[in-house]
Order: sequence, then structure tokens, then C-alpha cells
Amino acid sequence: MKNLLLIIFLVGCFGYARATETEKIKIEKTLKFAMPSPDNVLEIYNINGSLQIEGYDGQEIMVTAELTLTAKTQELLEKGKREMSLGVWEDDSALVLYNKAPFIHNQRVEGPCNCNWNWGKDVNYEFSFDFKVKVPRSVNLNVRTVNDGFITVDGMNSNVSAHHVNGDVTLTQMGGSVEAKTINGELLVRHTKAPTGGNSYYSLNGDVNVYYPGEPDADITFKSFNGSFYTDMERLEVMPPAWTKEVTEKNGSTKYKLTQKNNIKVGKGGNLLAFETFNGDIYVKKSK
Amino acid sequence: MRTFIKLSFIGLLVAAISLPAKAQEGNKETIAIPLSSPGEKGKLEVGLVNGSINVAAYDGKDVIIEAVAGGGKNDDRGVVTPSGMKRISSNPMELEATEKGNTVKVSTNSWAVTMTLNIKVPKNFDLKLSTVNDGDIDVKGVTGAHEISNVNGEITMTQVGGSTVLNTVNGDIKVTLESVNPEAQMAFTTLNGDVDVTFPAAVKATAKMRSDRGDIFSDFDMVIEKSAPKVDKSSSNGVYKVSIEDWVFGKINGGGKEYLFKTMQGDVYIRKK
Repeated sequence: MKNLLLIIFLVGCFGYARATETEKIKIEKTLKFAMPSPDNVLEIYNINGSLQIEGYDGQEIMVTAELTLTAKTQELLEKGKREMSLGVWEDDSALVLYNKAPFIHNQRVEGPCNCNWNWGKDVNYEFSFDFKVKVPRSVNLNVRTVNDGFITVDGMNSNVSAHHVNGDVTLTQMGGSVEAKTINGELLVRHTKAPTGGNSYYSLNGDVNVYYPGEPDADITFKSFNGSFYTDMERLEVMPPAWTKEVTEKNGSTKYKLTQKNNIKVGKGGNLLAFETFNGDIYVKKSK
Repeated sequence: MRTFIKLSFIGLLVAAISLPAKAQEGNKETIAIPLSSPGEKGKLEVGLVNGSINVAAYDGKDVIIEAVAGGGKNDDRGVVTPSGMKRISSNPMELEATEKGNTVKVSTNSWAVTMTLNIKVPKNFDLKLSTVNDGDIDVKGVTGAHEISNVNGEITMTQVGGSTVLNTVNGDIKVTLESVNPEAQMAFTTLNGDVDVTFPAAVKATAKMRSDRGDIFSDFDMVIEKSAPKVDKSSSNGVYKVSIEDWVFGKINGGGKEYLFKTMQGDVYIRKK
């Protein structure tokens, strides 16, 4: 009896697996900025899938994007192939890569709109883009993804901003400033240089691990709901917590918000490093 | 490299000296909240879990809140520190005050951080204040309808007016009323502590008093009537339960609205000003 049930289950699985159609499409592009300048920024707005970005000593941006489409029938798969593409948009200083489809509105490219996404009705196939990008080390990055996969960036000397929602963000060999954020994931950043300017690190449900070479002069603020702040730096001075005031008005009532952030000075202070988590711990370490 | 080592050595010394000292400084911040109709009567609502509330009347038109973080026990929850790392405690405070139609509501994260709120309000203000642990409530010079509760601490009110409903569990209640609202009932109850209330000499009231294990004192000429013990009998399964309620009633200046004074472990003092 048990065996029979197992067979029925396996046959069911097989039938289900048979009912989905999958296709992988590889897109390769080599891009260049129209006007090379230190303000050049590569922006990627992805929804499903990983971003793997690597700095290198060349001049061109080499993009490999693998689009995976999954649908229940061949017709729906064909619809996906017709609709979904890798959008490329540029202006004087920015190159923008995005998921282009009739049901996706990219605010960066198409401007603001108050349209509602209607996934259930309009999108009857699944899609994901996995990006592998090689970028000149000096190009600034502004990259986003939401589901499935991770973000890794390696070997950049520029300003890097990386936001994820459901996954880890790992930034290694960072020579410039970093603004990294994720909601459900771990955040790991390894810096090769002491910070110049401000860096910020945020994870809602994961830990934040940040490595600096030696002990940089910095002002550190941190905030955590359930977590703690750990460091192995020694030139620490715990400063009085910094206060911020905020006033908002809504429906005839005025709200005054007073919040405190912990404040630590490392060495002479100066560069502002902001750490925040909700459930995770924060670790700031000297890299070895 | 050598200078770096030197620097970090000096830094280490500095850190060792200044780590404990600096953390306590500058732990307060003030916020002024203008009212929608200044000059008219307003209401302040504050509820804390850990901390004290001090409210004082002043000659201004705004509500001014001074928030002081800390003052509670250190929160070291025996966390295991990863090797070679220090844990730096993280408990920043947050306060949110909303003003609508002259009512100011204050909410905080006092469930996580012990704090003291020093609040200045115009003289005519209703107060609704409460706290639970690690703090007292103190009110000075405010006239209005006050509703104040504490659990593990005292309630002290001086030079107040209007009406007060006060309740605490482990703490004294001490009140000096300059004037009373003749239309309002009042209550002063605690479990483990004294109840000490001073009224204007001309107050008209009917006091309902009880101290289970203490005495009741007053310098008013009260007309005392000890109510015949009210006996409640109930029976179930052939077992009788008899409970006796024993209150003392006293008419002050001919009687008036009912004022309730109650404690279990403590005395009741009703004083004439």
C-alpha cells in the first residue's frame, strides 16, 4: 500500500514537471558610455535573479544576462519570449539595464506613474534574469534586485550602491564608498581602503559583517532592535548618542519624532559609517 | 607603521579611560510641541513601561518634553561575545508625540529603554499618565481632570487642582489639592503604601475609606458612619462562602461627591489645608 502511494506521488510529480516548459536565453551585450567621466554610473534594475558584478581593468562593460522563462504551456512560453527582454537605456552619464515587459514600469526609464502591477492576471509565466557583468573599476554602480539569488560585487574603486530584498549582498575588494541594503539576507562588505566619505549598511533580518583594513578614522552610528554591535577595533570612544528630530503633518495632527542613535568615534572620527539592523547583529572587524 | 602603532596605543589608552565616562553625557533632548489652539485647555497622554514621568505647569503655551534616556539597570543579558570582539550595548530611545486638537499623545520605546520624561504644560491641562516599572510620577501645579496610574512606584502631586483618579500597587500616593471640581468624584487607591491627601478646608465630599491593615487619620470633622458589614453569602456544592466588605464613610462639610480612599498595607491620611 505504501509503495503504491509512493508510485502515485512520483507519477504525479513527473506529470507536474512535464507540464512546465522552460527555456533559457542568453543575452550578451558590450556597452560603452557615450561620454566617459567620473560620474558614469551603471544601473541595473532586476526583479528576479542574481547579479554578479566584477571590476576589471578594461574600458567596456560586458554584460551576460541569462533569461530563464518558465510557463505551463508552450504558448505561454512563447508569449513570455515575445514580451520579456533586456532593456537598455542611456543618458549622458548613466547606462541603465532593466527588465523590459508590458507589465513592468521602470520609473528610472519611464518616469513616475501610479500604475498597479497585476501579476496574477497579466503574467502567466515566470521569468528571471541572472546577470554576469564585467565593469571598468572606476564606473559607479547602482544595482537592485528583489527575489531569488544574490548580489555580489568584486573589485570596484567607485561608489557602489546595492539593494536586495530576499537575498544576500556580498561586496568584496571595495575601494570606494558603499551603500548596501537588504531585507531578508546577510550583508558582507570587505573594504580595501579606509573610507573617504560616508558608507551605510542595512539589513532587516540578517547580520551585517563589515571589514576594514586596520582601524579607519570614523564616526559610527548604529541602531538595532534585537541585535547587538560588536567590534574588535580598539581606538573606540563611545560618544553621547546622537538625536534626530522629525516633524510630519497629516490630517490635522502633527507628529513629532525624536530618535536616538548610538554614536562611536574611532580614532579621530570624520567619515560617517551608518549601520542598522532589526533582527541581526552588526560586526565591524579589522581585516586580516 | 611605527606611528600607527603608537597612535593605536594612545588610542587604546584614550578608549580605556573614556569608555565608561562619556556614555552618560548628553543623554537628553528637548522637543517643543505647539498646540492647535494655544491658550485653551488641552490634554496630555503618556504611557510608559519603564521610567518616570514628571509634569509641571509653566507660563507658556507649548508642551515641552524633555526626554532623558537611561537611568535603568544595565541591560547585559549575558551575551556571549565572539572572540576578540567587544559588545557595545545598543539601546537608543525613541519618542513620538502627536498633537491633534490640543491633545498631545506621547508614545515611546520604554518597553526596551528606561527613560525619564520631564514635561512642561500650560496650567490648565488634563493629564492621563501611566507607568509600570522603575519610576515615579510627579505632577506640580496643573489644574484639570487627572487620571494617573503606576504599578511599582509612587504618585506625588503638589498644588494641583480639579479632580484626580489615582491608582498604584506598590507605592505611596501623596497629593495636595489647591482646588477641587465639585462635580467630580475622585479615587486614591494603592495596595502597598500610604494614601496621603490634602484638601482645601472648604471641600464638600463623602469619603469612602478603607485600610485593611492600617489606620485612617483625618483632621476634618467628619460625620462618621461605619457601614454595617455587608455580608455576601454564596453556596455551591454544599460549601458556604461568606465575604464581608467593611467600609468607613465620612461626610466632610456636610457631604458631597464620593471620594474613595483605599489601601491594604498602609495608612490613610486625609488632611485639611
